[in-house]
Amino acid sequence: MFYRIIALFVLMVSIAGLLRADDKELTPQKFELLQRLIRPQQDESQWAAVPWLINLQDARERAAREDKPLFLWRSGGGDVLGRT
Amino acid sequence: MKADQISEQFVPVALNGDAGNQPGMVSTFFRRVAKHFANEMAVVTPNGHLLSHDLDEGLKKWQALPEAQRRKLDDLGKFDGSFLPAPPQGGIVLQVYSRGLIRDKQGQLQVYKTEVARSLEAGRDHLWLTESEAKSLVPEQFAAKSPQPVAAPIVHRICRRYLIDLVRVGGNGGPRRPEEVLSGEMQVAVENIAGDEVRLRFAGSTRLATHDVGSGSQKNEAKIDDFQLLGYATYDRNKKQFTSFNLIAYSETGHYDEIHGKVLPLGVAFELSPAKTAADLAPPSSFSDSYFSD
Repeated sequence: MFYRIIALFVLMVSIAGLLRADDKELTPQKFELLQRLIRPQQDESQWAAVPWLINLQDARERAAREDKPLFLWRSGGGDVLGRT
Repeated sequence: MKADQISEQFVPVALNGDAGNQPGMVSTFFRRVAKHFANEMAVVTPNGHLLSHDLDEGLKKWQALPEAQRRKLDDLGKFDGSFLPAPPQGGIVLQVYSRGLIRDKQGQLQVYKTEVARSLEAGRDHLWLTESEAKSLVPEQFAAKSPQPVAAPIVHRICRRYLIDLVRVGGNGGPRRPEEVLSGEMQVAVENIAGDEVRLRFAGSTRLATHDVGSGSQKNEAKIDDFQLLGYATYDRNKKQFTSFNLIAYSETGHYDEIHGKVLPLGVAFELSPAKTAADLAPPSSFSDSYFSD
């Protein structure tokens, strides 16, 4: 009887541990869900659809060649197309 | 943002905040645009004359200019291309996304958004690996199933430069100091082989310290975050290149919303970039001479 109680206790502790682990651990089962949450959502980042150039020389030459004005975006301090 | 109109009727160019510090053409251009032009968008001529902050008005003013003036490029000085480093030849470019998350009442993770604009989108960056670094990720013995350690410089680059709270309210965090990586390891193992395709599995963990009070640390006590790493990649033995690469880093406490004083989960996703457009090739935000060596 004593051993059964001990075994039951160990089992319960193990299950509780597994549940906690499952809740916080990055498991293969959670991989796709997390990836989906982290990546840009459908209604986000419309600006990313714009074919931005990052080389001002190239942009100036192309603008003159194609007879188009520049649409200039300059960040306040960070990297415009890196961190937003 | 009127993405279609900008794409079709303009030449869109995005420049970093420090672009005006570049000598030669770039600084002359910015001096022409305005005394102060930062965190702004505007319609500008190729010679740096500001037309308008409004798309339609800017286009109208552009079309009103004589054609010869529109097509003539002034000599604004020398352009120094060294300020635009290119990804290493033969290496790989990973697109990085970062996101604050929150657990709902059922304990399920959800996207965390606040009234702060920065939280409305995923944070973004790029990770560059050299050719030899990329090759080092592929076990020499393709059949080896036992995990092998990923080279320390790669793990440290990820920990120092990318497992930071990119979406933190109120500003960007710079790279961590080396001593703020308290521990970090990642291993790679061959999970499966099918024809030329070798499927790799990455797993690891890291403990990181944050000393910035605005990022959730206390005055005399660092904020400690434990990240777990898990990823999968496919390597084509015939083409000798990665055809997919997906890695996730996750911390229950990695994001700090300083407006509401909340410590929240942070997820960071890395995936193979097509590295085709100019924007794909934008240098990592923390790029410096020591990017590959520290």
